[in-house]
Amino acid sequence: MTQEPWYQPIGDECTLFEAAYARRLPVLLKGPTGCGKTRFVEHMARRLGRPLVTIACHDDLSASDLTGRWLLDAGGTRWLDGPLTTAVRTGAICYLDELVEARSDTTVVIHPLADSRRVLPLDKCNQLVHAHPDFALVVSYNPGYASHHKVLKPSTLQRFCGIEFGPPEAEIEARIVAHESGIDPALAARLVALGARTRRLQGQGLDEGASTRMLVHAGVLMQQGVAAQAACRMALVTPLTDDPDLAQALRAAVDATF
Amino acid sequence: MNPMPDRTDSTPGPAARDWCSLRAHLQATARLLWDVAPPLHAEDTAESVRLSRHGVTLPLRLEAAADPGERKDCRAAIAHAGAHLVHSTQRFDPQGLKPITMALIGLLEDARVEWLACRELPGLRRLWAPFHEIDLGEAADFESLMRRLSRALLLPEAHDPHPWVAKGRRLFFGSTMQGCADPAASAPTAADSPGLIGDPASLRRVASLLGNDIGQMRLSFNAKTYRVQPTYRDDNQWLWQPSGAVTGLDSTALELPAQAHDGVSGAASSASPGGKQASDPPASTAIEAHRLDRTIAQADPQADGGSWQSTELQTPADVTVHLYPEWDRLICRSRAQWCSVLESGGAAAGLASHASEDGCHDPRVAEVLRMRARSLRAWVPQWAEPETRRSVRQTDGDSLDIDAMVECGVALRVGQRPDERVYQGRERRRRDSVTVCLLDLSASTARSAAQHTDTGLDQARIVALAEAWSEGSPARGDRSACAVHGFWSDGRHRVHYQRIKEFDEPVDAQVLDRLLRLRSQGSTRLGAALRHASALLLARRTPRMNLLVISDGETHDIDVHDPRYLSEDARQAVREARAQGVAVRCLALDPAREEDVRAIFGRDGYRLLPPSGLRSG
Repeated sequence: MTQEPWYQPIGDECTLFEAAYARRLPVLLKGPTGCGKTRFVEHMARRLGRPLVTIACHDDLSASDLTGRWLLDAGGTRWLDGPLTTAVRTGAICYLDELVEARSDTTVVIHPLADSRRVLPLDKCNQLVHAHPDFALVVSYNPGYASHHKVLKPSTLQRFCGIEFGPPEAEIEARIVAHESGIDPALAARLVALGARTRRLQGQGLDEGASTRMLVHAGVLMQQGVAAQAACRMALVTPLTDDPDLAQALRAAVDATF
Repeated sequence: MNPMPDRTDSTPGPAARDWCSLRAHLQATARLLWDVAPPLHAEDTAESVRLSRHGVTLPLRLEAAADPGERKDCRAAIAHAGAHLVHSTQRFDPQGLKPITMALIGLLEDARVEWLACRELPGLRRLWAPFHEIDLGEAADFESLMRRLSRALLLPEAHDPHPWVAKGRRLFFGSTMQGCADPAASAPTAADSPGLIGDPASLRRVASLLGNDIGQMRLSFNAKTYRVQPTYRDDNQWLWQPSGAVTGLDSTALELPAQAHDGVSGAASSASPGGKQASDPPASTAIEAHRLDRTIAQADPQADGGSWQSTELQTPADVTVHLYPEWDRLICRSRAQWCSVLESGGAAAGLASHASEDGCHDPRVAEVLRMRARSLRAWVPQWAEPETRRSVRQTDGDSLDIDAMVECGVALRVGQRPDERVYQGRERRRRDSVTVCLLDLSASTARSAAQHTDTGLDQARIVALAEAWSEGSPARGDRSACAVHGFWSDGRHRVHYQRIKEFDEPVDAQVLDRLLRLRSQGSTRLGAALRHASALLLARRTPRMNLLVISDGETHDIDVHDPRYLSEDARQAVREARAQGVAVRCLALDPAREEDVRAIFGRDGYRLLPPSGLRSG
């Protein structure tokens, strides 16, 4: 990574993260989709001068996928570190994105790394890898998804310090949308006001309102020359709901905004 | 005064469905644009849109609710009414005012709130503009001039040569809105619009001046036949203080209470888009609070025959009481701790007090029940959706298992016989799950639906048994567990909830006996029962939680007179349960009520029980 990713702080999350990293405490980032969790980790890794290893978790992620496996080559067998082991050995920040999606037996692998032991047992090659002094573990999850059948075990959750993310205040969110999409700040403010309106329907037809990422997408489309209403219908209304009445109401809100 | 009757409540069929769809759309629009939730009503005899403490009444024939033009008219009306609810915080004293001045104050107030609304949502001007198309060449009578003035105040670019209209526009923008002539400017604040928010008396002065000019022009005005134009605007009757002795004005005009009632949970008093302070609640809150006050007064424990305290004291010792909220569709809020669910302590104890006295212990009856349930087992939908999982070290599969390949290579090099299982694939597996089979035991299940020879309760028994067998139980070595519970209600203070079969209990003669002892009685307060069943499932902390409701879908209770109130609450309860990870489905007993069941459980959330003849074979 050559350039520090732009990140707009919405509170004291940067200070909190730095404090946690100073003592190598594992950090849990909690927040709805599209609120900037991944961007925050990228920004902090760059700011702290540490390499970042990102692993997108899924329900078929095995412990071997994280830790490593034996391979064959011309000279015999060779152990290949997985991304987690690589991060542990080199002192990178390992970011497990949407940890709740991983199988529960897989998440147990990170337990010895997330407490005072800071070790990674590799049973297949009979090693106990002590974490590099600079290694840090960061995981994220979306509580909205978690309620749908998937939950993290308390034994996993209680190993982490948490930073909660949510939709930023309107002024900050407008700054983010304007910067990321390149649109005029006044137009971004209008877009953000529309996003805030969609969040009023959260729990009343919508699982989640429009995320900052969705607003950025709408802004990017506008920057590409797409008319504001068409951009919002494409980036916000269509992905948000399949309900025809709700979609019509969202379209009315879009038309009223621009 | 009684609330405005909601015609759709007793009007099923396509027209009512269209109105429900339109209302859902309009409610969402009101929430999106203004964060308000006034109750909406349709009335085909209404002459104009009416805004009162009972909500917004639209002059609409239900048959026209699907018409795109009508929907657009209604959307314009709701956008305008919402602007009033947010921006019209001042009511006027009609004392000493001429009818013509009152009509002009109404017009100016309409223009004022629309002007403020368009500063925040400029696209609204496009929504309202088509209603203001006029012919400037038509005779300049009073009503025509009113329409022209409305147009001139809404559309800044509109040019009108009539001197009275020009004067009205100059007075309006020059006196009350000095310095704010550009409607597309930034969002409104109290600071940059002192004339609008802080000095409503200026509207009276401007209206008086314009009214005098109308008198000078000798134009006639008939207060009885005058209708506010364009049609999307409400009749402004709520604008006047109720103490005013003005003939023809609605005495139920909007009143602003100090605060919303505590019984409303949620964000009823959240900040309005207009940025008003907490001490100045938006008019929507006033409407909701009024509605709430009225409903609470109706549902006062003293008024319905006993206090909450006495209800609690009357419960038997082996019954536990659980309080749950209930969703009120009219105020779009949950009423905290509104329903009490009386759960019987144990399955046998709970049934003892409600068991039929005629006895159902005939083993032949139990055997018939068992046989029919077995025949239905294959039909009961499988809840625990199979998951795919990678299976390694297979003799065949989709791809190579790298670890197995490495070991195979090592074995070959050291001269050993390699393991040939070097493939990996995906296998389906079932995860742990718990299911509650919730039986509707209300009196309506004593009937037989069309094409069914069994009563609803008989069918519910059979399905419950089939479900219990299908899911298995820990006693049989399975990892899934199924409980069978039932409910009936007798008002919101007494929602009876019986545990017929526990999660860890095998399906044995005792369970069969309890099933056979059930009888239909009371009413159906489905939402409270759903919330309690969900709470029991969530307490199990299992990844898969299923709730199978076996009901005829006829929600009703003795203390509820709004036919849609309980079904809307049940729909909300289903939504809440699903948000918490509980998979909720319904087996509908009565095909005639399929629409009701679909409304509660959604298009994919229910299944009709097949006619008896299909199952008996």
